[in-house]
Amino acid sequence: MVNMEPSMKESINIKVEFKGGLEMLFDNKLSLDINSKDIEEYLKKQETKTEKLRMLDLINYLSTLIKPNERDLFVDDKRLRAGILVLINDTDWELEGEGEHELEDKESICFISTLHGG
Amino acid sequence: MARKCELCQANKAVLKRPKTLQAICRECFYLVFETEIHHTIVQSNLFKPGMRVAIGASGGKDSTVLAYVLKTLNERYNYGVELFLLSIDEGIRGYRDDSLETVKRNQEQYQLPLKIISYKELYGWSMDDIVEAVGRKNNCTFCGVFRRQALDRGALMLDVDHIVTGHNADDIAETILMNIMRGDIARLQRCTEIVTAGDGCCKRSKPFKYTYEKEIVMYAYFKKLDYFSTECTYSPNAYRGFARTFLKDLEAIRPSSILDIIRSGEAMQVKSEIELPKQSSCERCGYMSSNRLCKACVLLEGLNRGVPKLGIGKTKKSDWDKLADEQNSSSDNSGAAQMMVKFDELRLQAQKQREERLLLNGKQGGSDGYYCSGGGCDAPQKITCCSKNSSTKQNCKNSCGGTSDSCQSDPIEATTVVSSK
Ligand code: SF4
Ligand SMILES: [Zn+2]
Ligand SMILES: [Zn+2]
Ligand SMILES: [Zn+2]
Repeated sequence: MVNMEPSMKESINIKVEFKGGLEMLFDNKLSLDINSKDIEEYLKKQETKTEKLRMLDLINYLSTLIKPNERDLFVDDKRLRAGILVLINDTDWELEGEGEHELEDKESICFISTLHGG
Repeated sequence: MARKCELCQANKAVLKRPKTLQAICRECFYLVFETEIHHTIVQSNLFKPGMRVAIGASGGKDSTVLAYVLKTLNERYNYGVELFLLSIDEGIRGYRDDSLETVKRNQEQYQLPLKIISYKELYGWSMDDIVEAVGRKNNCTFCGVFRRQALDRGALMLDVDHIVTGHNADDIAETILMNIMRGDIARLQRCTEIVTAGDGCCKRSKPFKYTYEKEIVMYAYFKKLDYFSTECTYSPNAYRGFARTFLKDLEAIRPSSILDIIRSGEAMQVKSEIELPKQSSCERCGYMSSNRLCKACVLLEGLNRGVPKLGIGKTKKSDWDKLADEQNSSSDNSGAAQMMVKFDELRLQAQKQREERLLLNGKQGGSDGYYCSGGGCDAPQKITCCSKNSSTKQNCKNSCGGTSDSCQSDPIEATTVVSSK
């Protein structure tokens, strides 16, 4: 694990994908490129300070992109709603620390809803 | 540090199994996922060689993965079954039309014959029409009743012996919870069964009964299977929605909850004093029904007469009877009743198809019975026919002169899993 001072941290880019119907919450966009500066700005507004950017921060930032009346289809009390699967670089996030996972440059994160009909 | 797979100890783990909490790699995941389904199929005796099996295909994740896995297993373990895709077109713009496109692609990708049955053709009403007439309140009642019957009709048209559906462990646990909350004992029992008898047309089964939704979705993701995932435009489903959220929350805390609920559901047996409704057949269309008219015919009658409330909720038995009598006395069976082909007719056609197929195979058509491997017929290679224990002798279905007790074959054996690594 590399530990950097917050001030020295360079911005990182991550790719986010939506599947299983979740894209409908995000203007039907199947993927988004997110820069860590966006997340940090959001966190500043929330007056939450974090040394490192975690998955949870990303999730809460993403929820701000959703229409207010649909947000609870993605988050539940600031956590990811149960029934949404997450892969970090094609690995189940349950093996990667889930919400506490520290975001890294060029990581690709995929959210898949299992809640839609089969 | 990437975690190693707990099964092969070699590759990088990519998935945590909800059932066992093991961290496993992609290859091991494919193998255990497929093999567990194979074991369910073998242990529940779902298939016999020569069987024609329809996969209820919606284009969604479950049925797409089911089609892919069954095709794979049928080849790997030589089940000797013939697979078909059977889809229902409810007629819902912006939902079913798109998902049917997915089914059509699946047909190409998996090279399986596809049959689509539409509500509009069958009942004269699409779901779009029905919603326009009844509003957004009871639409799912119509849709559910019509779907059940449409599937059985489709099965007869394809002359299949068996319909498999993609209901997974999460779906079944959810249905158990809902039936408990509604006190629906008859359904509670039926929903936990892996095989249900159907109405004498053909059996239905759920090979994914013990398969977690998470694994189905992950399998589709890793294999890049093409599925459709939009909610029906008319889905209200508040009740199911709550049950689903509740279940997913439970599962997040303790994944075994899903299988535990299924086990509890199985353990709840109907006490013998409680009588389940007797089944006979509908006077109008011949479908199985506990009343003189089946639910679909009553609902349809309501639609055609412009009183869609008919048959919704509790209808007095005398009303049903009145409807049935009216039906019998009127000489011109007005409306859709005429359009609906009776089940007896469908059964006859299926029988004919079967005889033609047998003739094509150079065999004589026989009536229902058993296959054997004695008597010199070349019925499918490995046969589970019979009833070696059965006390009565049955004639071989192929009319070869053999009987069921001359069968020398063994049931399909469960193949032991050997890790590929
Ligand atoms: S949500 Fe209701 S109307 Fe839509 S497909 Fe399902 S049962 Fe039919
Ligand atoms: Zn492995
Ligand atoms: Zn009927
Ligand atoms: Zn024979």
